[in-house]
Amino acid sequence: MPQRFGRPGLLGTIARTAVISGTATAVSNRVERRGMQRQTAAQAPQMPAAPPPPPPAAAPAGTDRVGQLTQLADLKAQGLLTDEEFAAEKARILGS
Amino acid sequence: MPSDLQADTVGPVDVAVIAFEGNRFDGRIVPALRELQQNETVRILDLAFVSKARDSSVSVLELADPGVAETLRQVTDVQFDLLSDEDLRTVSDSLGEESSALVVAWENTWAARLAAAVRGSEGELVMLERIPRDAVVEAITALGAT
Repeated sequence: MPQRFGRPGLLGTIARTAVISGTATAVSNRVERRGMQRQTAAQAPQMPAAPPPPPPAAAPAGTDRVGQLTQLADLKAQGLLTDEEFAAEKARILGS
Repeated sequence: MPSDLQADTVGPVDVAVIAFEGNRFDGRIVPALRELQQNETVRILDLAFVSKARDSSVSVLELADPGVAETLRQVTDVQFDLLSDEDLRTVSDSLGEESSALVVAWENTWAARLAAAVRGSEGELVMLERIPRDAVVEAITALGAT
């Protein structure tokens, strides 16, 4: 039989977290899927809609600006913005 | 330490946790793992099947245990005890009732071969990174957008 007791093991702290969150996601997806199937099958009466999640707290202006610039750079990198559009938007974000 | 697993020559090692509904091992994943092992893409180093019953009791099946031995032995009959009891407890703690997971540790033999080729060509591997799935999807989707 394998001797596992007291071994250093392979899953470090980071991997442990990944295992736990990965399994939790898999389980909640399944529960969701099953819930939907059940509802369809039984033609259950519509449940009152859950209240929408509260909007995320507004990020501090500095972070937000960085986020916008990053997004902008992504769009540019994807070829969705011309150089002029990129420059104009960048000026707008920095100026705001 | 087993003579054919050496710390200085082993390639990169991955651990996969494959979760299943229900707590019986049905072995459907075995042929795929066996193929990866046989064509030397990976070398399975360790594996265990962890399951949690309705009453939250946990059981661990090993390669040698009757019931799974026949199926798991098709994957490999050599096993190094690299996963610790603590590792398996982490997995079992994360499992819901009536679910199970196959925990597999493998050496990426293809990467060891790549590394040898790199050394042979006097190159230097400066980065080897698993790219997050989302980034790959985004990049591929962008191909169609242009």
